[in-house]
Amino acid sequence: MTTTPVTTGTTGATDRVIGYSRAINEALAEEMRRDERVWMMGQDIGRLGGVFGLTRGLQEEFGPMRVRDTAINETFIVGGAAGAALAGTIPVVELQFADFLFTAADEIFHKLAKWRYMHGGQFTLPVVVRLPSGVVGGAGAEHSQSLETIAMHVPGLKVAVPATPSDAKGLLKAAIRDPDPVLFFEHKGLYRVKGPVPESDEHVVPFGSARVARAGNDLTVVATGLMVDRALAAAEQLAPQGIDVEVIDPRTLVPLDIDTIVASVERTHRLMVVHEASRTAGFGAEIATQVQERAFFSLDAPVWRVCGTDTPLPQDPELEQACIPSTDEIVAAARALAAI
Amino acid sequence: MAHVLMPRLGVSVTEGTVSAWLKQVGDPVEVGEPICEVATDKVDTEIESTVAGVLTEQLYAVDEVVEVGAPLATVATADDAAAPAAPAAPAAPAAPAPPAAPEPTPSIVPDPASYGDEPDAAPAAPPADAAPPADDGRYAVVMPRLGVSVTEGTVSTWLKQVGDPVELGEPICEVATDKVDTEIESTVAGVLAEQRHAEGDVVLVGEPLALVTPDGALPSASAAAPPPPVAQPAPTSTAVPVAAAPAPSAPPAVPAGPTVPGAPAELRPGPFDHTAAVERLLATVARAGRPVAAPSARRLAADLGVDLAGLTGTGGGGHVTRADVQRAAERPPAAAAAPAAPAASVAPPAPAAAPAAPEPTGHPMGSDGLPLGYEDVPYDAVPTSRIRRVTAEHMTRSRRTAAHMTTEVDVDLGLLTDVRARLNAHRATQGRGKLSFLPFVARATCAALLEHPDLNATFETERLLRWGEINLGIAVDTPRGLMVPVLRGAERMTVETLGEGITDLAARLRDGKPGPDDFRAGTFTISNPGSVGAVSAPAIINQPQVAILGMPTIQRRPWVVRLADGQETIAIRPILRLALTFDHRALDGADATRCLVDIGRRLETWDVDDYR
Repeated sequence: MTTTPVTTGTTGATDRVIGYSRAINEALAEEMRRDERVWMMGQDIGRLGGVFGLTRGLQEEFGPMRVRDTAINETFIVGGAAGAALAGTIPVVELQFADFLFTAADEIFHKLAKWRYMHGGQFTLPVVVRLPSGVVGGAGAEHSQSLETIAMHVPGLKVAVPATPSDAKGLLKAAIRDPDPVLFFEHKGLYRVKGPVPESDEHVVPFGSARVARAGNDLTVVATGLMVDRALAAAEQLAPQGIDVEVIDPRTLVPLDIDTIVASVERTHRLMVVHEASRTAGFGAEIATQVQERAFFSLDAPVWRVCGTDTPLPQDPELEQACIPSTDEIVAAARALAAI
Repeated sequence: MAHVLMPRLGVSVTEGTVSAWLKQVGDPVEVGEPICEVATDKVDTEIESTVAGVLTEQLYAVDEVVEVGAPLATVATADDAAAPAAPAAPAAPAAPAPPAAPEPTPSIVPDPASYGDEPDAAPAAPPADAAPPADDGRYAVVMPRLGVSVTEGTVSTWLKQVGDPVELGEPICEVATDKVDTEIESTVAGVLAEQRHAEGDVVLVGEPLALVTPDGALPSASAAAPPPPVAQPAPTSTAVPVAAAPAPSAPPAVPAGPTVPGAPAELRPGPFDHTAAVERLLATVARAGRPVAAPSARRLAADLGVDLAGLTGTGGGGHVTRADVQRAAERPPAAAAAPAAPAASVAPPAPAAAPAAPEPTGHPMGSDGLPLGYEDVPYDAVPTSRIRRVTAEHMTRSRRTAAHMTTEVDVDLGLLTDVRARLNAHRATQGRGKLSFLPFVARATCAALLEHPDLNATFETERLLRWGEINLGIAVDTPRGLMVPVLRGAERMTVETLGEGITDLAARLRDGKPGPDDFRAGTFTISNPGSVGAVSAPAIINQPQVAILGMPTIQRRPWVVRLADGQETIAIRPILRLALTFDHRALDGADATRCLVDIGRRLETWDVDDYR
């Protein structure tokens, strides 16, 4: 197997610097141009261009039949997508907040996740559910959650958690081309973040391939979404203190590139998982378990977690930040772990 | 002079249209008091003043569109005017403003009201955004805002009557709104002095519901009219327990905690104390009552044959780290528990104090984990085997430790070739296999080492350990990597037993079934790169030995030979260029060379009856 190094983070000749939102908008437009079976549905995605503006301009280009406004009804949005997928189309639906996946829980966790298998593989359900996720500054407990672990726990779904504009675009294109249902957790706090994105209609980031966001030798930090940049900032603070941190962004949680994580831990002998979601039973617990199952004898120290608190998120933006990992907390935890 | 800015009224809302002005130029305004109404495509709402003072300018007319963040109105604050115009209204001058400043910075924080997807019941009450009317000041319990879109409530039941003592946080009445029915908790401690509304009355948010005074007496008109300047607006939140409630002028001490509802679900609010958690973990090391080692240290100890029980840990809490194991393994064999290295392919470790840290890559690394400058070169990343890593570590340690020096001699094997041919012919008649040259070299080496015991030794700076037997290591190239099995007591073996012993060991290795003693306690090593075609054979010393003999390929070379008549001529002879690499710390070049010459002499003069 020939591995080609991942060059994310550097601007090549064919890269442009664009925003995470723009990258998602481009992925949607390109895939709709590429394949006329692709269409979209969601509350306010058409005339308004989406509650966060991600679908601006798409109804103008593709018309109200392919970019459809719906009522306030997540049950209908996802259930309708399941039916449309059975009919041979590729629906990409948006829920205004990832939190509302609970409203559409039966449609997501039963219809999308299970029907391919319950019906003996007679069909697939190529549905992408776009889920604006995470804290954004005062949206409150019902509009700020990181629910990717819940999606991980139900077999049949794929789960993407892009942290950069390049991955947002590449993973969304891969999601739309995937025959299986994908829950696509976009982080609201990253919508305005800019970064290099390859100028190519075929910039597709395969699922199940982690990105080494920073190479290091002393401690492996696995982080997703908003936490990737915080882990990188922490790594820069830790480097002068003699702690050389490797930051790995799995990019998709289902499938999970555990091989890359294990290989890193076998070199660094220490692992810390950072996630915004609540601490208890988050994906950090799953990664910790898989790593100790495979690399127990490589470990110099316990696998550590830096996570959101086990609380409903407060609405006050400052209290809210106190409930999710900060760069300072990652630094403090890394120092404690390195000292073991 | 201060501005009231157009707030962001929803995620996607960028502007609003002024629909009515509620305050005119010259009107006094207080913080939280509505000054105008604004319509957006999502909501119609009142804009509350964020400053207290007198309205001096309406910056937009009715029906004009205002962008989010733009100033709506100008308010002259107390700081602006030395003598503010006396308010005409009976309303008192503003009480000091609460600090709540409605988000002036544009944010993509959505106003929950604009989600449209959610009932608005969720947040109990945002922080005070409506100051109570000033007339009842510090004694008023006001109607709190019970939801984003809730503007009024109906008093359904009074729970406290006039004259009842009231504590902070104690419910005084029940209120029904179109969203929720809830109890209103007192924000003032004292005695209920007045119910301002009867049951069934509709009360606007911010209006006083009741007065609670220290003694239950209604404040006199004169006392009420100018509220004391220190008065703070009562918080209106019903959800927040009253620990932070403002203490009115001289209230009785706050009684013990307010009524607490049943314990909530198990919550673990942060911050998570990583340092304390690590300390708790490390405290378990001392309590364990057994050797505590990191998993990685346990594996290393098993690999190197180190007994954890004898080690002092230097890790956190005193646990044994990989570095501790490594140090123990590198202690002199005399000091360390001697029976070492059951499975390692290399001999017991050297007496050197080598750094324990695993060797880093040794070259500058780029950011993507590749050697600097190699980012665009395609590559395969092949994981290294454990044997490879052990070998790598051993080789660099040996190189760091010993002063390597190689001496070489050419050996004419012409005579030995004949001897070997005859011996093999004889063995063939007995159905036994052929002997290679290696057992002959091994035999000659053992004989020479008995004469030069300083090369069958271990060097420890303070002393040289001359081993009393020759345990001959033979470097073997196996599919799993380089292995060095040991023939114990080789000085007692004949060429044939040596040959068969080597064959046996190699077979066991290739089958993957070496025994625990097959690798330990070597005292001298022979390496045979000639088997794959090398023409010279310097080597790295197998620690903790002091020398290694390299045996390259035998080459047929033009050679000057002396004829029986004393003349010289050139003949074609099988020549072996033996290389002895030795530790120059332990012995000098002359000593090593004398030993090597001795080996060569024994090989060149070998007769068929020798060394059987």
